[in-house]
Amino acid sequence: MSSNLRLRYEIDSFVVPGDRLGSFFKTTLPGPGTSARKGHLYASTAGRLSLQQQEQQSLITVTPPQEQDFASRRVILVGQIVLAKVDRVSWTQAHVSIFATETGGTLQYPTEAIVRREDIGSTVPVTHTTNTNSNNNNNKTSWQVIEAVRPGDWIVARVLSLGDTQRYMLTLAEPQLGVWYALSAKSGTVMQPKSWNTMVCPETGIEESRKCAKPRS
Amino acid sequence: MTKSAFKLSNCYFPLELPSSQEGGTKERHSGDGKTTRASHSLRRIHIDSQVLQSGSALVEMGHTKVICQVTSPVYASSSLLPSSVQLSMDEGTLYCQVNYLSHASYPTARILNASATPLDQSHQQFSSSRINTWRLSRESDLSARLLSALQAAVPLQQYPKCCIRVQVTVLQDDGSVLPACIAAASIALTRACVELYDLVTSCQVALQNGILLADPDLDEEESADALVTLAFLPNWKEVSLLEQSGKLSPAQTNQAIDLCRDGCRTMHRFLRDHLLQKLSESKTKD
Repeated sequence: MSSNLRLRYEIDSFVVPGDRLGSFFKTTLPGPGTSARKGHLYASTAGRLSLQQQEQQSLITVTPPQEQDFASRRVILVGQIVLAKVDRVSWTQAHVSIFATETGGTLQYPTEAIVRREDIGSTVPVTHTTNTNSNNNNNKTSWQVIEAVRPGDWIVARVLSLGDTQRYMLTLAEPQLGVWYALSAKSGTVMQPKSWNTMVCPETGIEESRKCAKPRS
Repeated sequence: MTKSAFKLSNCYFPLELPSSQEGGTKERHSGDGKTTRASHSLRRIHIDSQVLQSGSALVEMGHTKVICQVTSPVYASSSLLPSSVQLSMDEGTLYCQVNYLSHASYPTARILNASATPLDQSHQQFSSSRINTWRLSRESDLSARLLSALQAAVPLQQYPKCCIRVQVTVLQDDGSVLPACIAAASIALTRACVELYDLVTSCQVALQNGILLADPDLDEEESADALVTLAFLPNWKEVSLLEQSGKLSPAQTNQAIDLCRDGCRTMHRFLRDHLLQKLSESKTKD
């Protein structure tokens, strides 16, 4: 396998975008930081050339220096988990601003998204004993938006689609998605989740309705 | 992240006066005031990167100085994008904008003196609007050419519904602005960790009295019979921008394009050396 691998630059040397690294075969594949064209591998970012061995294949990658990550990691893609803050709420949808994604980290500045009423989830809690098929057919009610999220809450959501030119579409319809951080309306202290649909303020004891995210334990 | 101070390398060096020689060959200066250059050699190049924020570059070719800032990825509904930019769902968009910094960065006297007809007496009165129209048309022209030169090198399908914003500011225009803009954009895109298929390099060649001059400065550009600009991807060996203005015979066109390609290869060497130097500097900091 090593006899097939003839790179024009030494492993662990620095390369620059566009440098032709060599030819690629079935056993050596382009990894992150490289691109392939007409049977040849080219570097696509400035960094250090390295070789990762997998079972039968070896990946050729170029990794940028330490503080930097690829700009393409910061793109919001369908299916990613994002952290967003609720700006305002209407009868049919909640308008949020996305502040961070799971792969990209914190965004440089927030971008808009909406969570529609039908994407907040069902009002029946999903537990191990519940027969989900029959319950979903009979249950026609969905959350009221104001009872699920309030302006100022931070929510964990999943990107449903890229939406239109102005906003992304998010969904809260899974147990681990929902309100992550909320302040009590009366006292302003951080509330604790009590169950899947209530949060309680530790100072005053007042309960408020939210669609809570399942705590990770 | 500490900001590094950057210095313009030949900011305080005086420019030569436009010469009033009639005919004869004029000596070409290479921008640092000391040496003269041959017809096929480029001016002195100075490159600096990460000058403003992450993803920026400063390129000086002789006295032409440009700064480029790349912001990526820019999402929808952002204040950085004008409303005229349409984002596509499948792939990203590249938005390029070239701006002249102030009235001091372009030759005001020449624009005013270049009146349309000898009968045009009113150019003194409307000088500011004439300069503005010149500047706006020149900026949009440079932006469009920069966009077409860079578009071949950026894999836009990695950025759905996002935009990569390339903002170039021309600090001083002394000829060959577009090659300097393209070089600065390439360095800035690389330093912003935007993946590129290849570095885009560019060179400009002027034809004056039958002689081809590489990297013309402002005097040579204005008195040239023809001007050829080439933007080239050196490793992929593909041309992304080829422009010609003026009158050239086919043989001269071929020679001019060959000279441009040699100039692009030289530029590529400079860009590559700068990037490798920055990589080894960042390694020794760890």
